[in-house]
Amino acid sequence: MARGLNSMSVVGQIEIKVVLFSHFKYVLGKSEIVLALNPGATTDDLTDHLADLLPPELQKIPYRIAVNQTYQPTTVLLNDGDEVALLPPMQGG
Amino acid sequence: MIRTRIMDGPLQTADHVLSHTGQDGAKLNFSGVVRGVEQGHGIRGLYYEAYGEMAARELGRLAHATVTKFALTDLLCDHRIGEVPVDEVAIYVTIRSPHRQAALDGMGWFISELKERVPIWKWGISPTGERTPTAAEKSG
Repeated sequence: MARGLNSMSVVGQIEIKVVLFSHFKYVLGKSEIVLALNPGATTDDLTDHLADLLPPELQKIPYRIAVNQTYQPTTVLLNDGDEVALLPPMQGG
Repeated sequence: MIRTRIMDGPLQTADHVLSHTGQDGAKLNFSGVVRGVEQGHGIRGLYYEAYGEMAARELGRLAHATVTKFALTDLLCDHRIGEVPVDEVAIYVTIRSPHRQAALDGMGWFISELKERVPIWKWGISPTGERTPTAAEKSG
């Protein structure tokens, strides 16, 4: 269970670094946050927690997930130390 | 030849690196230039933010997919990151192919797909220097 955008982990939990870009970085005022999750947590669990934690102006922004810099279109198991990126609609070019 | 680069600082055209083959009937160069207005507001430039190695890797994968899909001979792409002033080039793409239609179709597809799968975002830079992320758009 995540406990907040600035949560500290407790014994037995895993730590996930969540990397932020564009509006997520701008609104939250930081480029990354660390979430503490229970062992066995998946990317779906992480996004469920984020839905509770993110402020309203970010709730409406769609995003894709990358785990350790690889797109994950379906839910996957997360491991301690994984890097999860929230990727809002991209704008290159 | 397939070459993609994500670079900080002014870009220069790169098609001079291509050798002559005698087999190609089309060479297409595209330059994406920063406009002075973003979402109705005057800006002094755009700041391009990229997700480091993933952006470079996805750009390379996209280039290979484009060359395969349209049977192109060459695709070169340099994408700039960091601050890009108005009227300066943010992206150069060069495509060469035996026939013009493949080059035209391949260019359009490459640019469209770039906005779908390469993790790069734009921030508008106001005349006073404040950076604000731009809203997503599909028209380029």
